[in-house]
Parts: sequence; structure tokens; C-alpha cells
Amino acid sequence: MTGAIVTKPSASSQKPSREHGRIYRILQHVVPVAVVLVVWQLLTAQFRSPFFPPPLTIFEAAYKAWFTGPATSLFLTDTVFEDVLPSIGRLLAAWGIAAIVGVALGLAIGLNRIVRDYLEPVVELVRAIPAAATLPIFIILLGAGAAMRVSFIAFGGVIWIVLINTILGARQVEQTQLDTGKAFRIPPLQRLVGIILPAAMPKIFAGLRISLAGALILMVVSELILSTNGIGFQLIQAQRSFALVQMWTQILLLAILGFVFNWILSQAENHVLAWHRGARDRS
Amino acid sequence: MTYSTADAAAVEETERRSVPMLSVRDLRHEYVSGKNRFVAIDRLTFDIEEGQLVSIVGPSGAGKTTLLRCLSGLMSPTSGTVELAGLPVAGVPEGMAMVFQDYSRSLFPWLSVASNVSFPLKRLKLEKAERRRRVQESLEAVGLAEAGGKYPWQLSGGMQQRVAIARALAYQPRLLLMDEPFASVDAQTRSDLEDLVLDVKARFDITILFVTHDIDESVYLSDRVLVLSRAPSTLADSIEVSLPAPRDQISTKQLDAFVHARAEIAALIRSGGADIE
Repeated sequence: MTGAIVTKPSASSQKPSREHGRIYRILQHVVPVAVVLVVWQLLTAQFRSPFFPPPLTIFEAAYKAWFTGPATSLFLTDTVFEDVLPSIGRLLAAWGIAAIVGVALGLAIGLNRIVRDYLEPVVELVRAIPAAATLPIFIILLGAGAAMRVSFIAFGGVIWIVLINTILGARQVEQTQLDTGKAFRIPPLQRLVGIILPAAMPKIFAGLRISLAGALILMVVSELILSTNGIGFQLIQAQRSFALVQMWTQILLLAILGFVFNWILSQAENHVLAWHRGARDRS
Repeated sequence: MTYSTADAAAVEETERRSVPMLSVRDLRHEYVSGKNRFVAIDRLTFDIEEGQLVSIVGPSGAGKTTLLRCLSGLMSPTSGTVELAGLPVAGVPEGMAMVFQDYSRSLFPWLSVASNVSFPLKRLKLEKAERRRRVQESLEAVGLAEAGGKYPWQLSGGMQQRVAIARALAYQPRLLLMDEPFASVDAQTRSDLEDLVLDVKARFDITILFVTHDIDESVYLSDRVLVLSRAPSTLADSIEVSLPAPRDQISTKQLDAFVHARAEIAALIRSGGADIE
């Protein structure tokens, strides 16, 4: 019988080089960052600008700001509970809602050629509007509270990115795969969940990742104006009172949050889309 | 008149076999795009008896794909009728499975081989044990008993097409449609897959409609070959193939009957206005 099954090399022969590979990859990530930090520290210590405090100063201020609280609250300070967690909560709530609605709508639009032809240009147009610029509209409509902020993040930004990517994902499902579903009389719901959704998943995940990064930005923007708490609020307060080290600690926090969220989503993507990497690598 | 159970079964069997598995009458399909009209197939009429393997050959552009899409219910013909075991086909009929030419786009890369094969079975609401048995049986029938846990993209082209065939077999259709299934594999693999089709037909007593542009393949596999003319395609001729079983890639192809059938079909196709290969 002709044909070959391409198998992975046996575990035992791979172990040493796989371990080496992992260590090497970790170093690849850590070393450049460490180099940047060292250079940054040296430069800022040398030039002593009040606008650019050295990283070590920032780290120390950050530790003082968040981790010097009472033991009863896990050593976390008040600001963690009053600013950081509410901000993250609003971010995740907005992103979650917009992601679900966006994927559902995106599939509905993407699969119906007529609807798609009419709606896709509109979505493209609205998506092109810089989300931050629409903040005043949300303030007028919904006031200055948490509802406004969550709506702004969700419907000013996240949903448009998720929508356009999901529509693209639904469009490029292979016709043969759809024909297969029809030829075996698979019912429409099972076709949607079992064929279209998995086939569109790579594009959907791309939309989720991009929109999460955007959501972080919008979270901050929504807290720069008319806010009373949040990371963005702390950021703008620090800037206004020239507490520049504190301002930088908020920036540091945002960088860490962005990195962590992206990492979590990437891990989920690697798990859900393991087949996609394999299939792509082979073709 | 009362029948004993054995008689009743025999009568039912005879009645069943007297209705052709597939009956096509005056099938016509026209593609309309703006002002352009293109008639792909016209006045196509033929029957396929149960248990036969019938090939359809024709020059490129002869509407073979159009015909298959109409038969499978994926497309509605402009006019004409298609009946499967006596029942008119409207939409995709029950009891029919299809193997597509492009296996890499027909199998689902997010499912394992075994999951791909069992995917169409979910709708049938079989018991889990029965479903698993069918999957195992069909994978074994195509020579992939050990490959259930692999993913399609880990397999070679020929093996992927075997998975597609296994998927169709597990479904236990009455009619199997195959749309130029071996056009995208190399010649060596093609020979192996052709023998697999003969194996499967003998083992499962299944009716097969096999579309191909390869004349050798059509004669080697079939009981009958339907030759299509160029578009607007109609039936140029129906050639009975009487080759002995079991067939073999080397000895069968040396028989006079094979050579003559092949020549006759090639001549028909050429006179239809175009060479095919």
C-alpha cells in the first residue's frame, strides 16, 4: 500500500533538543527585554530628566502603590480594589459582551450573501472611525458612569473589529466543506457549529486578539475624562499633579496587563487552533 | 394469496431490484449569468441498476460536474427528473453519499480521521457502540485501521481520499457518487485506489456512480460506461463492459475486451469533438 503517514519523531530522541529549544526560546524573549531595561536605566540615571524616571524608581513606586497594603487584603492596597480591579472588570465585561455579540452577528452576516453585500461596506466604514473619537457621543448618550464606559469599549471599538473579522472568516469557509455538509444532509445548526464555526475560527481569533488590545486602549481613554476611578483616572491625575513617577507606574501596569491578556488569549488560541498550525505547516 | 415469510422476502427482493437505483429522465441544466446562457447538459436520460458500478466519461467541460451536482441534490436542474430507488429527488436525498475530487478541502482539518468519518453519522442518531463499529469497519475496509487518531493533514493525498471513502462507507449509502476522486493523486496511488473501489463494491454490495476523465479507469472499474458528448452534453452512448472478475491492473488490461472497449470509448469521445487525454 502506497502512501506514508508522517509521524512526529519519537519522544525519547526528541527530548534533549526540545528542552534546548525551550530554554533557547525563553532566553530569546527575556534577554532583549533585559537589555532594554538595562540601557533605559543607564540612560535615565545619566540624564536625570524629571519626565523620564529610571525604571528601578518606577518599579519601587509601583510596589509601594499596590503591594504595601494590610495582610488582611493579601497585602494589596486600596487602589488595587478601587482602581485596578474595577478597570479590569469593565474591560473584560465589555470585551466579553462585544465578542459574543460580534461573533454571532458576524456569522449571521457573513453567511448570507445578500445581507453581507449590503452590510459589509457599512461595517467597514464605521470600523474605520477612530474609536476614541466617538467617546463624546457615548458620554452624551449614557452619561459618565460605568455603563457608558463598558458600552464605549464594547460598541465603540471591540464589536467592529470582531464583526469584520468574523464576517471574513465566515466568507472564506471552503465551498467543498460546505458541499460536504449539504451532501450528507447535515442539519443547518450542526453545519454552523460543526463546520462553519471551526473553519472560521482562525479569523475569529485574530479579531479577538486585535480587539482585546484595542479594548485596553479604550478602557484608558474612557477613564481620562469625567471619571472618578480607574487606571486611566489614576494616570491622568498623576499627570496633572506632576507626580510623574506615579504616572509611569500606571503606564507600567497597562503594559503588564496588555502583555498578560495577550498571552492568555494566545495560549487559548494555541489550544483551540492546534489543528490549524499543523494543517498550515503541512501545506 | 398468502405468502410464507420466505416468499414475501423474495417477492420484495425482486420488486426492489426491478426499480432502478437511479433513474434520470430528460435532465437539462442551463447556467444563466446576465445575458449569457450556457447549456451544460441536455436531454440526459439513463438508468443505473442496483449493485452496478457505472462510470461517466466525457471531454472536459462536458458537464460531468453539473450532472453530479444535480444528481446529488446540491443543485436543482433546470428541468428533468431524477429518481433514487423510485423516489423523486428534491434536494439531497437520503441514502446517498459523495466522494469529492478535492479531498483536502472536503475533509475537516480540525477533526481527527475517526471524527471525520463519524461526522455524518451523528445525524443518524445511532448508538455510540454502533457508530464506533461502523467507523472502525470502514477505516479497516480502506486500509486505515490504525489511522483513526491522526489528522487529515498528517496523511498523504491517497490516504486522505481513503478517509473520504471511509466516511462515505460508514454512512452506508445505497448510492455512492464519486466525482473524479482520483484525479488529484499520482498514478501509482490511483491504481491502488481503483482496486480499493472494486474491493469495496464487492464487500458492501453498493451501487456506485463514478465520474472520471480517465478512460482506462472507467473501463477497468465499471459494469457500464456512459459516454457524454461535449456541452450541451447528452448521452453519446452506453457501453457494456463485460470483463471477468476479479479484475487485476495488469492482466485485465491486456484482455481484448478491455482494449476494444477502451478504443470504442476513445473514438466516441474524439468524435464528440474533443480529445480528453
